[in-house]
Amino acid sequence: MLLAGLVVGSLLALTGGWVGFRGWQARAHLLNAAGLARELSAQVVGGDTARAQRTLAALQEQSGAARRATDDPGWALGRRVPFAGDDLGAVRRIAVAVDDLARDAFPALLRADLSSLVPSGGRLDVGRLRTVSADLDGVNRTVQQTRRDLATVSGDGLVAQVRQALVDLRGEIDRLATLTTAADQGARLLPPLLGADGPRRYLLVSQNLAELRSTGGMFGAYAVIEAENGRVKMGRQGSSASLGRFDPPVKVPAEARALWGDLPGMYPADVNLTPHFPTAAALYREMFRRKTGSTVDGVLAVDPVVLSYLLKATGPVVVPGGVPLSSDNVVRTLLNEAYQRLEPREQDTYFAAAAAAVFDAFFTKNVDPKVLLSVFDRAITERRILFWSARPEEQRTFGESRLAGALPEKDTVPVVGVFLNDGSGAKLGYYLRPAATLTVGECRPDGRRELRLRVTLRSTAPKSGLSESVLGLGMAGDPYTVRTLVSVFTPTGGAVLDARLDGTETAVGGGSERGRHVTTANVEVRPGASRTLELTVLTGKKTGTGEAELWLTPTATPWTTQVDTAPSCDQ
Amino acid sequence: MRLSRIIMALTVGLAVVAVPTAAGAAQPQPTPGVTDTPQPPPYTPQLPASLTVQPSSIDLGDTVNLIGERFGPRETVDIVVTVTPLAAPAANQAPARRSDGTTVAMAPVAYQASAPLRFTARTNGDGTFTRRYKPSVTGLLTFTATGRDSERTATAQLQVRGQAQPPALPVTGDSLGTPMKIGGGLAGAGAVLLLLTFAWRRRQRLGAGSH
Repeated sequence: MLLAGLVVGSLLALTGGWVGFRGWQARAHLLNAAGLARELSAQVVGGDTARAQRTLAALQEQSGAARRATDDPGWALGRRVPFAGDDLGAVRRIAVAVDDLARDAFPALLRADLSSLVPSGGRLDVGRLRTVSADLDGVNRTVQQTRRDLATVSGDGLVAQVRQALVDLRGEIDRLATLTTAADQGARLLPPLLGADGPRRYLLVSQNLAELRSTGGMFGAYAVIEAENGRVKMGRQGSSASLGRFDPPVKVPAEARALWGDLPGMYPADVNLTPHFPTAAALYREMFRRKTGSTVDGVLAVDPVVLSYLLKATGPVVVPGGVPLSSDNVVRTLLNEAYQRLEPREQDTYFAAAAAAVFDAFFTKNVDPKVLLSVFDRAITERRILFWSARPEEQRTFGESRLAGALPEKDTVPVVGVFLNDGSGAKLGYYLRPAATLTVGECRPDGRRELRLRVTLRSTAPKSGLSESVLGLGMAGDPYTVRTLVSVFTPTGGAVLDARLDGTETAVGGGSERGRHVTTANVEVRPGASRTLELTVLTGKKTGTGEAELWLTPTATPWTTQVDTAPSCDQ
Repeated sequence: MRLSRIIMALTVGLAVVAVPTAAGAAQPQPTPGVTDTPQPPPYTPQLPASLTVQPSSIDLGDTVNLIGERFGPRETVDIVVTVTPLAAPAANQAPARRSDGTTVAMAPVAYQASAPLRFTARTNGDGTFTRRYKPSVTGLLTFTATGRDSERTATAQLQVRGQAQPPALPVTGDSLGTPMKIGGGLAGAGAVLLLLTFAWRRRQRLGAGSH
């Protein structure tokens, strides 16, 4: 009896010791794998492909070892033991998940050749893009499957270390899944957008930040871009002015009409009084159709600040009739000096020449793909590149990304929008220096949260010496005074309690758009002066979070911003 | 860099280079004519019609002034009031307590709807009006004013509290968390002690038996 007990005890001790040893091994391998995964991510982002390949090999070795360490009979037996069994099972699932990603997802991500994402010889290789798309499809499937598998592991009753590892891994995989889903959809969408399934035509519009509108600037000029089988060329060019005035107006959505009347449907320069880019793009497309009889598949908007980023990648370009355009001078030259120096007719010629020069540089110079892609990444983050597809199924794919410029109808974090529309009829926006501070305030008994917004506009315009082209209509009376209509959009379901201009209560216009209350104030700033608009804003109900975000009109000189968050109301 | 952004960037990457960097010429303006036909508005956005409530936050029983500006001259303006309850406790009334110990504020339903929620105002020659209004409900009141002829619209909001504004409820955190933890800990410790007692007794009994 004693002997039998001794044998059983020894066997149990041996098995326990073995499982403990293998567990210690698995833990070491998983820790190594986590470090290598971080290294791999940095190397991929940094474009160090050769080193990334070596890191991936090391990662696969470590994840494979962790998988093997948790795959022997001793471990399988241990998983059936009360108390410790669920921890051992969870470690096994973690090891398998990491190994699956290392073997099936990461190699394909590494294979995706970034150079296939930039044009070469005047075209983009749609065939290579389709290959990338197929790879990304496989990656996405693996990531989604791994995510589903991990979701079935219960965290209840696990020891703290294992539970934390599980939570961390789930968080990482959630982020990865969001990324691969978007990349997969994007890669599917790209070939048809570039005319792989038939020719496409888009309107490319330039937002003139010297005359501000909610999405950036007045749509000043346009060019038709034709894409076929990856080859892109510039077609007809023109100015918004040449489209004229529309009477009867194009139908404006009711909420925008209540705020701005028929202006967005009458003048191409006013389509983006609303910050909701899909509305602006659809109006502009319809105006172009009415005027030219030609229909386009979408609208793409950019601004001169994007060009300054782009010229950093390509280097300066020579423009006939002007100074060489570089990243340092392009904004000043296009938004200010051209209006000061040239007559209106010369301005159009100069702008067309500048466009051709940059187009040429992009297609003929060997630009580093990584630099170029980081340029676009920055421009999209700053909402300086916006795209709308007239095909609903494609537009849905872009969803509520920054590229789509769509005002979301529901906030995940309370978003306060501050949008600027020039009311002077002048090119004085170039001289504005905007700043915004948003402070999260008290929790209220009704579940709302109070936010305090402070917007300051400073004008660096001179008191004299500007040309007629810059001063324009001078609607503020004094032609050097900048009149800006500042529209504040509350978070969804929110409200504005009061508005003060330079400390005094001010009359404001109001309405709503896409579930947000809109308050519009007139802020007139004399040369060298500064005005401050302050509002008390309420979030929607059941918004206890202490987080908040600002959505601002992109301007020629970037905003100075500050968001002061607070602890959640639940804390 | 986020791969999604790379992909999105690519969509526009080709086209962006073709940007006519131009800011564009000024929008053509309607030319003033000698005819009597009405001229179209200039392209620059006009100051919007505005509606101001003064003051913007009151106690129930107080009166506010509604001031409308930049509506059409001598027109009727329809004003509609919508009410969102604030869920603030009613005056002189303790919050109701639910069975789980949480509290809920009570709205003063007795006052409901005695003030009109739809009424009109008439503008003067400058398109301005002033109208007094005495709310009969607490909550967040949204006034929407629409000019019948001009179709210009403006909204404003007013916060109406109970007559005596009680302090906000203190943030007390999770009421059950700490007692549960302490109780659970004590129960666990008790169970361990109980097991130890049984084991000790058993060992004593076995030890006694072996002698």
